[in-house]
Amino acid sequence: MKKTKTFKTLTALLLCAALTAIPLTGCSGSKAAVPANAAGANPRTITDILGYKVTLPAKINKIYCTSPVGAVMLYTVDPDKLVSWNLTLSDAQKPFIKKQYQNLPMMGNSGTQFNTEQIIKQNPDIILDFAQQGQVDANVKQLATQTGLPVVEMDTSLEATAKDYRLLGTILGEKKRTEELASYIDKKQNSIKALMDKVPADKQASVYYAESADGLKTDGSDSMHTQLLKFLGIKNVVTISTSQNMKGTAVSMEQVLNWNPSVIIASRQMGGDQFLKSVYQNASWKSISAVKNKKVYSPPVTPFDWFDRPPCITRVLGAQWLAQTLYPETVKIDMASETKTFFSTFFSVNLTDDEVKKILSSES
Amino acid sequence: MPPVEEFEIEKKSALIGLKSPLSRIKIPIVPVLGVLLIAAFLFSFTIGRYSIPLPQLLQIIWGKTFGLAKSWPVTVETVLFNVRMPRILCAVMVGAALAGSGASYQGIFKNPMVSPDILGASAGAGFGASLAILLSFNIIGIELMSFCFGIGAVLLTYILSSIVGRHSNAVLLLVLTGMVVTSLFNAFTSIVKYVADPNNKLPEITFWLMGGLSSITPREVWMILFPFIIGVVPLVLLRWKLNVLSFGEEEAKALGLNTRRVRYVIIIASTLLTSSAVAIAGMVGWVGLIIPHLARLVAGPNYKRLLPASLLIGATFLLLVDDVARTLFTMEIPLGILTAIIGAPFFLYLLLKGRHGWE
Repeated sequence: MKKTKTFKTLTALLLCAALTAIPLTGCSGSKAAVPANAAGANPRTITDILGYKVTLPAKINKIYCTSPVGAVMLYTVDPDKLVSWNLTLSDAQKPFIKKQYQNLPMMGNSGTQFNTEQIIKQNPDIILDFAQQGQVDANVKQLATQTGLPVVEMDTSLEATAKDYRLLGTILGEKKRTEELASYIDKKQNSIKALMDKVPADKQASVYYAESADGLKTDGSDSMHTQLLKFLGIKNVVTISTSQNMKGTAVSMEQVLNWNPSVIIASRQMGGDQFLKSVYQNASWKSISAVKNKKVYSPPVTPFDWFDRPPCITRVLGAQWLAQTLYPETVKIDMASETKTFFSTFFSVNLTDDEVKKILSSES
Repeated sequence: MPPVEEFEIEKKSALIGLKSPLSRIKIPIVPVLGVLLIAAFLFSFTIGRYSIPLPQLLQIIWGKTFGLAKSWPVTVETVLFNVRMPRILCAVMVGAALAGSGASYQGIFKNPMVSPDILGASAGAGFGASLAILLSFNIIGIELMSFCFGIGAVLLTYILSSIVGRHSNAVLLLVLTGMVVTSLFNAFTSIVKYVADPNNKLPEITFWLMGGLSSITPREVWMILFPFIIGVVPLVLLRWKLNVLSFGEEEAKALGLNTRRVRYVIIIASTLLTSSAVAIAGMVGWVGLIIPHLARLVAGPNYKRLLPASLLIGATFLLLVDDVARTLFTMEIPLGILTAIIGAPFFLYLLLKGRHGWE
């Protein structure tokens, strides 16, 4: 009897000891993994766009981008380092992306949730995040804590695009390629801004950005979704602050009639095709100046939206497109050749004339 | 109804906690509420983000009714008849539908905490709409999917409850299976939101689920009008039977009522109302829960007056709340948020007021 009891106590004690040991060994295991991960002899310290000091491994083989904004940028520099697109490429997008990169796995993104284990499995060296208006999402911070990976922050604003590229070049050690792209962006952005300054004051457009099939969802002038308008100095009729609500805001038809915009930009991804089909027949919309004068446009979306969603580098081309669409008398740009140059420079795709036509027409 | 019976109803209602302090004052409550609704309707016509001066508004209405030549801008007429009028009509119907079905449900389930989405109508409708958005349906498609899934969810609840309990407490089982179906469809909606592209589909779904009447066009008026009439008429005609049902199954049977059939008809009518309301306005909470209580407060527990009072107060309430939603700020305030902000404190007030009765 007594013997059994001693045995039981002993077993219990052993079990306790074993259980305490598991987290201890687990912990030491993960600690050992960090220096191994930050491989190489010389970790570097860089300052990212938001001013954070980040220590990076000497050599970077894989980068996990938290949103498509980073993924598209990284693809144009070094697609081999891309882990995930963070969006599902549509059949219309695929022809412009090299075959071996078309089917990268989807691992969630900052808009929804990350699949942390899947990300760890891909063994990226750093996380690349694009902050919206200087704010880092809580789930990105959490992902960094969970994975122990360094996070480099960049900025979605159009003005920072060239700066973002140069920093990416420093990180990857591919300064030649990024300098080529960054100087292209600088050149195009400066020339389009100079042209925009020449638009006479009485010709200035007032734009409403329609983001749903009924056209009654929109984003204000402070939103990351309307940065292109802000960049070009074009007036957005929606001056209310909507940035705290990343998902935009609903407005009433009466309010839009009250604003009476001279141009409507319809987001093709947000029901724009449906909106374009109905807007000229709809009695309410017909009273609006933009509809009366047939000035409802939807920006091209190939291979990624030129206006927004994701707010990525194709907006550099989008700026040229929007300026010459709104002010054809002042801004004279050969969009076909600009599109060809952009596609070959950034995506290494040589477009045919038919393809360009299709991309620029609203049917693509 | 003879006065003796009416007194009986009031006495019995007092016993089950549906006491009304104002019911003894003899004022023709339903006509008064009707006049209030008409006043709110006319008032709503005069306000909006597109300001129309009152003389011009009267001139247009005068000119329209007597077929005078147009002497006003087309835009103003568009705002009045194409934007403001459909929205006001829809607010009236959605409010009446939610409050009317809420009052009926509270009667047949003998439970004052029941709201019209108890059997899964809202959850089903929300899932239907989310799925339609995910599959890139057009606006009509989204509204139809939402309507069908709302009805489908309630049907599922009904079938499941009749499979589970053949002869046992049917009402309790309905509520329980309703809860199961509701959380099931809510989970489906979450899955749809999870797989939806956060760049385009997800914001659209979130928007829809928040609810509101900003997308109303004349088409939506026609879409809700028929389910509304088909749903309201049987409720109004059967309203005295709700009195009997609210006393309990056995008493109702003793009075010679086919409880099963009546319950069936009322559930169909209420589901039709809830689903059509959710299909065009999204999730608008609290109206179906608090308006019947408010109606009970002013009209008493007798469904003869309670149901019309609920319909009228619901219509007036949602109309006025939507007036705030569409006029207060440049951006629309989601209707569901406003009804919750007004509804929750009011419900608390009712609870505090009723405390003496429960102690």
